[in-house]
Amino acid sequence: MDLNPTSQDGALVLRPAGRIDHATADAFQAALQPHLEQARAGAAPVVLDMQGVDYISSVGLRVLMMAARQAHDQQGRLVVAGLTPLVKEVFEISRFNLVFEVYDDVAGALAPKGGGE
Amino acid sequence: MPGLIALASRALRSGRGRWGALLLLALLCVPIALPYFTPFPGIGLAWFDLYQRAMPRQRLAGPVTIVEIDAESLRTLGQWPWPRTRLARLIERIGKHGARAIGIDIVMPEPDQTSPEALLGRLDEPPSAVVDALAAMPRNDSVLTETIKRHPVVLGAAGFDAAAPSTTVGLRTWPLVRGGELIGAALRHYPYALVSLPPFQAAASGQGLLSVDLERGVLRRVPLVSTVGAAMVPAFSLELVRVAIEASPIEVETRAGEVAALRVGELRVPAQPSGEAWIHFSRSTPDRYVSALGVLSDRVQSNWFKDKIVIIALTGLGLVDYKTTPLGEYVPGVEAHAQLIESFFDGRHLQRPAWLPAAEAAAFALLAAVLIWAVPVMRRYLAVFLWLALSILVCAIGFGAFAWSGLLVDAANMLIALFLVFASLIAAALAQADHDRRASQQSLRAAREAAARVAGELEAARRIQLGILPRSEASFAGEARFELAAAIEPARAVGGDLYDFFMLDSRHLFLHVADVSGKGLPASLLMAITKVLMKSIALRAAGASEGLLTQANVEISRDNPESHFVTAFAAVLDVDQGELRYWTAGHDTPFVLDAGSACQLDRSGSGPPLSVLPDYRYPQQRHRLAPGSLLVLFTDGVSEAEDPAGGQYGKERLLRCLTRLPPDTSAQAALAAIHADVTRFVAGAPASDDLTLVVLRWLGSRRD
Repeated sequence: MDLNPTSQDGALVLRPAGRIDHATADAFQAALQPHLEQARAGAAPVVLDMQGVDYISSVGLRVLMMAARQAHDQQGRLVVAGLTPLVKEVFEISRFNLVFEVYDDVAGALAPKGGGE
Repeated sequence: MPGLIALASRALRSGRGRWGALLLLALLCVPIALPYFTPFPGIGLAWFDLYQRAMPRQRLAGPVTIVEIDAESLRTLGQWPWPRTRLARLIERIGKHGARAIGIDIVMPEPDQTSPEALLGRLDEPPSAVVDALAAMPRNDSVLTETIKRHPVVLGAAGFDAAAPSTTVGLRTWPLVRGGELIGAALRHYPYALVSLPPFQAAASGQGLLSVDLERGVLRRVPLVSTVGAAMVPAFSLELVRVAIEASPIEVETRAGEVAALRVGELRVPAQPSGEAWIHFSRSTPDRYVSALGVLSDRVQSNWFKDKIVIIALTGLGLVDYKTTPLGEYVPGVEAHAQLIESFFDGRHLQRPAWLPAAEAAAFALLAAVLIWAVPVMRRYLAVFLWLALSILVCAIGFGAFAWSGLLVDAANMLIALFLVFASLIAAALAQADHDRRASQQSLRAAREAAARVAGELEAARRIQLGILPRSEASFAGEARFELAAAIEPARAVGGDLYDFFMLDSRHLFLHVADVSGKGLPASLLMAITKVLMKSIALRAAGASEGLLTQANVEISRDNPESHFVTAFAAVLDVDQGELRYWTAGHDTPFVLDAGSACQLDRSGSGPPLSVLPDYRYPQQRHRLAPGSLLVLFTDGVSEAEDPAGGQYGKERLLRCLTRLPPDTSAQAALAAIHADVTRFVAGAPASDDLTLVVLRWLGSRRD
């Protein structure tokens, strides 16, 4: 899975696309893993821009949770932004908005603290 | 026996066959290097014949003329034996035309039976005139003796291994000079000899041995010097040369007690250590022969005898003394002597020196080492080419050495030895391939067995997983306050979904559904743990189960190294009052169908899935059920079931399905209707997630 990494205001922005489910979760995890070391103490947050993601299953949520744990262990931040309605509902049902900082868009994620949901 | 074969196979394959081939190399080097031994003698001789056939000697000088007493001479002049006066006349004619030496390839051990005095003895009462006349005539043998005296005649003698009529143990020899210590045992030895009468020997200028030994029916080499009794005797051919060039005695040149060469005047003929010489034959040609009849009738051409070595031989008596040459020709025995003399003068000597076998062994070892190094790491067909190339190289060396210096290289034995080494390497490679094939078959079988074992274990796990879930129809027989129906379909053999329900006490029903993230064995193990944990916590807390999910979350978070999480919905229903208390952990809340309208339970108090935030406190929520209403618990295997095109079933469809249900539908019928609706939507597409449905119908208050 190609995450299209770009740099915006000094922050790493990753843009996964398509469905993140049992078929693609392993590829998503493999693609995400090398970027996670960017989530360090004092560094800008790593932003997962989810605009291109149509659907995420519980398997995909597990990948996100493990990534969040690693970022947390490194005292860094991994945030999500731009959830599509279906993904947003999954986040709400699963209460992953308690696990992640969720922003409407990348700009919101990079704005000074307090721009979250 | 199979153990022995396996052992042999392992020995053959060790070091890719290199160890076996090296051992073979070492074993084969020994017989090749031995000077008087060849491992495959017949093949070696045949190979030498091949050299001669490919490259017969080119006849340069023609120093020898053979006067043959052929069939025509016998027919015209009378049958054999001729009177020796006629032989004397023949010698006279040859001598008169300037022959340098005259060899007689005829042994005359007895007196002439046609001599006058012999005839007289045979006549019965002859007339006195005849007696007088015969008595006045000279004896034939005396005539021949005189003739032999006047000419440079060399007599032939034959060596015998056993005594026979007319054989003797002694003969007249002209002394040979030894150029050093000679161990006589190496020479060909004849205990007996057949020789001409002593007067002839006394009159002759020389005497040599005619005898040759055939090897496998073919005349290949001639002893240049041998012993008869205690005397060293030169070969007939060598003696003729000595007499022809009026040389001092023949000298035997020795090296380390063995014969190295023979010298006659300026001529040096290299010999085998046993005193033998290999003959390089040229093609048989009639040029060498003249008929005795022509000579006796004085039809002599000037070039026949002038300064030549002439041999008188009998060829007309059928096939008495015919021999096969390496060229495959069938020639009179005399031709061997003639050809040998030719090759002396042409300086064409075939040799197999004592150092040659060692050189052959070294060359073989080198080439075999190349094979041993290269074959195990080469493609099979390239290895065959390499072997062929080396074999051709050996042949080229053999033919080259023969052509250039008359060296008889035993290429055949080298080729065979090289082939044996090559064959052992190929055999090792084949054994290895066979071994690998067996090994791969074995590992394939092992893999299949392992897969079958795992499948069996998964099947067992599935039975256990489904077995630990309660069966609704068996659980609440005779229960009038509610109905329960449940179904589960794992997407894989074992799944991560679960449901459970049981009475906490006579009034409180506990029920829950949960979904472990992930599929297969790891998820199903966590599912089993979750089920046990939830039940034990629920039973411990009994009616006061406020911290139900909070406690479960702490326990699951503690022992979850794989970072799976569990979404769960748990509820306790007061089956008398319809009061529902529930907790949600990242799970979609159930639908409630009441009097034809359906809605989802409020999820505002929902927390994250279990094992995500270990310290999270899950709040309790409440809902009061109306009598006859349905509570539909589900996992995302229902809401996210997919059709073949990838579209999702979705909660909207579930909602519509519920609202279409007729009033007073039982829990079982409602479950069947939802299940059928999902199945119809999925239309055979493979399920990606476990599907779990639990339907509760509360029938109303008993005490109302």
